[in-house]
Amino acid sequence: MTRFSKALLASLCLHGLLLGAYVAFSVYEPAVKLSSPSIQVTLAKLGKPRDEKLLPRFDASQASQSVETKSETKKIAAPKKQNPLDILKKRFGKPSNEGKQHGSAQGTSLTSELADSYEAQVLELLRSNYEIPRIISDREAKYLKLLIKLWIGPRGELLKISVEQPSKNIRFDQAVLTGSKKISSFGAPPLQLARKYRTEGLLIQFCPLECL
Amino acid sequence: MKYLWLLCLITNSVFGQLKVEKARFRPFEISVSGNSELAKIVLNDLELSGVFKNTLAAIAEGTVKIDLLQEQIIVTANNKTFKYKAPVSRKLAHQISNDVYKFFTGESGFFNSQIVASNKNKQIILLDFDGENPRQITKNNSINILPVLSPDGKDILFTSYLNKNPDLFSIKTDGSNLKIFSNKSGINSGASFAPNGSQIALTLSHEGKSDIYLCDKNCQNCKRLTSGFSLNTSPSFSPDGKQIAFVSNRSGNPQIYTMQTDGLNIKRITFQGKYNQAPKWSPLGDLIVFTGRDERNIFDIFLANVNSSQITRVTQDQGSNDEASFAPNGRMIVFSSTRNGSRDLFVSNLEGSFQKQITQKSEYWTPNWGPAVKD
Repeated sequence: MTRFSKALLASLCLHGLLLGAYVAFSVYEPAVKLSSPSIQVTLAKLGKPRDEKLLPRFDASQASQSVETKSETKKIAAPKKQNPLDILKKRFGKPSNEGKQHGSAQGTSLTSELADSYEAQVLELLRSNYEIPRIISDREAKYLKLLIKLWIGPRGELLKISVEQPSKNIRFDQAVLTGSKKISSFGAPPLQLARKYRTEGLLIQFCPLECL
Repeated sequence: MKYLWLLCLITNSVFGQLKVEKARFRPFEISVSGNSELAKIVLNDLELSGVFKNTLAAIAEGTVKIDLLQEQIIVTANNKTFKYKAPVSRKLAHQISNDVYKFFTGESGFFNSQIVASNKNKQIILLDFDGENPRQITKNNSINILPVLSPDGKDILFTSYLNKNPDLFSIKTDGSNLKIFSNKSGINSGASFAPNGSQIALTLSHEGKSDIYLCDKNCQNCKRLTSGFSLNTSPSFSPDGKQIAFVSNRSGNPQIYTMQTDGLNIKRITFQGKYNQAPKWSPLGDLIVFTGRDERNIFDIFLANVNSSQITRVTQDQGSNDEASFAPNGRMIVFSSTRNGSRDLFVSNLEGSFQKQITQKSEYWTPNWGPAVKD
């Protein structure tokens, strides 16, 4: 076999291998390419640029709507101007307290869970730091209910305490207040609620036995 | 064609601009036929992945046929055949879905993964990834919250008030072997497993305020990673185990940060919005999902690109959406939403263009999507 024939044979083998690899790759290529989705392009009306500090919003539908309506306005008479507040009310319904400065009306699931658990922690500490005055009968203890508000600092320290609704038994109220002041720390409140407990306070319903 | 650019320029100046929207995925149209019991579950699995869409066999881009032959189940996906042993079960259906998904996409499926959450009675519940087969794991009268599945899917860590303090407990997924994992004074919560399971990041407050700690797998040797006056919570490991995402109020309000596992090189990820929390790092490593409050004071799910810090939105105008967690393949998320009244679990693709409710009229909180379990 001449040198030329050997080179030719080697070249043929190499090309054959490459072709085989290409065919194998084409055959076993997945039908769905998860990492290469199609890109959509729409014609959008130029508007005021959105403040970069705000979280992004989906506005593609609004943008395309504004382009569509532009051509229609020539044919149809302009609709009667509506109060922007009415439009918002119509679209979003009754305004809610959701997401206000100190959390939503319902709270996120996390803040709500943390609030529940922190409240349980505070209540437990209060229970372990006061004694029911002996003068209170078991029967009366069943019906006593005290509503207090605790302002708690970021390290769990008690900043302020107030009686929101007395129980009608001053000895019981006093015992709870004295007991709460003995507690050096209620434990650091969760990050999401620290500001609320420091500024708005934490409302606790307290009963000597179980609240009825 | 030569003057197309000029036409575009004129159109642009007259009407507006050409806006290149985010890439959108077109679902692959598929037909699943054969054994009705298995076909129903397989089709539901494939559709829940957001990658496939049911259609008629005549016009389908791909076909799946499931035949039950005595002791054997034969599945034919286009021209590829898979064989399984009877009996028919939900687990087998999920296995078929995994194989079909891998055949069409080249990637592993997640149909045998599980989701853990807490319910309205503050008990820990384990569900299949499709919201079916809910099982109550904890059975006590206390508050049990913030569950998270271990990397092997066999253990659950959660915070419980069983001992009158928010302690961290571990329990097997069959409800056995409940034991205390961390019971330092104050908060013991928000655990995140390192991908190899060798370390655990958690929030502790025994030194006065909430900070992130890194502990070994038995929670014996713990090292504080964050310091200063700010509160630091909600750690989440990166998939390479070298970084941790967390929430801190060091800038005045809760924002998402990342740091190395030695506590160094702290980098702020979110600059938009004033209230961002609950970060979870994608198993693919490129994204962090979090709950953010936008300028309309509504909580929604967002994604942050770890490298560019670019934020994209997943949910909008659909109730309160929060506490998202990534699927094991990083292409889907699960979160709780109040859009239909009750707090139910939803799965979504990362663009938010495909969202589906997986539980009905339940009250599930803080879902955590566990790993794809190997059979």
